[in-house]
Amino acid sequence: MIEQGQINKPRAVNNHILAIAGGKGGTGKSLITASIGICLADRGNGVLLIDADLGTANLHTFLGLEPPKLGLSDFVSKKESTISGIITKTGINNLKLISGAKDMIGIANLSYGQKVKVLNNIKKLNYRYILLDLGPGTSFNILDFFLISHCGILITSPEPTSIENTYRFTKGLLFRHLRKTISKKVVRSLIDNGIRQRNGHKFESVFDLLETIETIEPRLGDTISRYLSTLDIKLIVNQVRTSKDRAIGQKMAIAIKKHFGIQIDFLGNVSHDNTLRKGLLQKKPLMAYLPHSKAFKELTEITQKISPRYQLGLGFPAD
Amino acid sequence: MKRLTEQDYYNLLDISPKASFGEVRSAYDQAMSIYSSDSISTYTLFTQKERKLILSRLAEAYRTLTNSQLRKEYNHFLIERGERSPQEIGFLSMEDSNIAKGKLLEVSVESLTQKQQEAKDERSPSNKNLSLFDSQISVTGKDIKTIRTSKEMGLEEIFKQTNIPRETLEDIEEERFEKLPALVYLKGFLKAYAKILQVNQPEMVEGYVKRYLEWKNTYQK
Repeated sequence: MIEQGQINKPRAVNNHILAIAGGKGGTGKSLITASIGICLADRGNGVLLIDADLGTANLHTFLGLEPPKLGLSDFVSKKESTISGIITKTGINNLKLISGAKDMIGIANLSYGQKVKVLNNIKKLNYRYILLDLGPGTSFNILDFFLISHCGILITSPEPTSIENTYRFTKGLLFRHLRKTISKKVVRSLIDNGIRQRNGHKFESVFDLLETIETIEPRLGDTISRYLSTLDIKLIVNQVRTSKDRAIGQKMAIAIKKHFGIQIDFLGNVSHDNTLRKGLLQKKPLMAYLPHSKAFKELTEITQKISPRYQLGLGFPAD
Repeated sequence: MKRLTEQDYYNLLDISPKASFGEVRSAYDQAMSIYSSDSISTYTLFTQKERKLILSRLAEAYRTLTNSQLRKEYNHFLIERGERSPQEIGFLSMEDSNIAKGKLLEVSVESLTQKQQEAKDERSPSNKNLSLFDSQISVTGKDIKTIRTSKEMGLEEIFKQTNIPRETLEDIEEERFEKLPALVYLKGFLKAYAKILQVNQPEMVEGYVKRYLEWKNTYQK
């Protein structure tokens, strides 16, 4: 029902952008992105998946689609003038896709201007949920896409190298966030030097950085703490097998809070599931086997926690 | 926001200054499972040096907070430094906080560390001397239950491993002291139970017995 007074106003875009990333490849980012998208669409929400795993995109595979003709690079290279022109159907109700399948290798190195253009256009799209599937690694591209989203979700597997890369990602994210939000030149160069390990500065944690900054600009510490508290980062541990694996996520969240000084919400575990692997090998769309898998129940629960309404304690209807 | 190794013992373990023995114990177990060198959840997050520092700080925290004398002194130390308020710590009477202002000015960091060292020596497994009874913190049935549930162990499992009857286990946790067996048996049970829970045996046995005797002296005279 439309209330009085709203009729003549243009409808404000009320989308919720989620970025899915993780330091390491092969942790199941695309699978989880597709699954969460399916869960959300199934609830009646308009969902757009964007394969921003630039250079090695394969989100379409999970949906059982042939590589779509148009992709993100066509918009970047201005072959397609509007972003809505590159949106394709997925065969699933309420679920659309911007593919990265046919993207040229070079797209992995977007200029800052190109990134901003893509991001601004994404922000205007009228979908309830927009899911960005980012590639592995800690390049500025990925960190920037992660930071512009309303909420960033980190995916890790219980493997040591994957956990290591998650910490590396978190650290990179923090410094990138501070670098972009704090305009003081002195801080910027400090961070740049810290990352490049020049001048003997190497910041292991935010505390190192804060301490150094406070010696230069005594009042900036509070500002930085405030900036850091605005980050909304979540964590999913994928491919868990044992009860020990299941305990890792919560512990990582605690360690990150204690060591980096930022809050991370652990959303839950997704079981290692052979059904998913088999289905993929048979080139079936995710919908054909996902609902029968053990992981689906876990993913449904995780999806609920992502909903902004759920976070406000309003339950989880189609919102 | 403070660096891990600079946080006070309560923050370090993420517990309230009023935390019971059981809460300290489970928090310590949890922290060890996060920060120990074989913990996968903090893989490469810390350098060896950092990790060593964190672990020794955790051990210090545990030793201090599970010994009532040391804990009291540490609390006074925190109040004196203005890091915690008497209300937070749970000092209700003026007397308590007066101690903080008066006598305990003498308690320097050095003497605190020294006392911790002494306590550590006393508690090393090789030392059979249990004279720490006076400084022993009471261990409640609820504490034991907290530790058990934090290890995700059911009463049935404890029964299977120790042969302590289920009802007795419940009586211990619910502190139905009147139903408990004679002290000598109770001690034996507690010892076996402590072993399964991987808790320091004298600590748990004497801590619970202390509580049991308090009850006995009050109600069974």
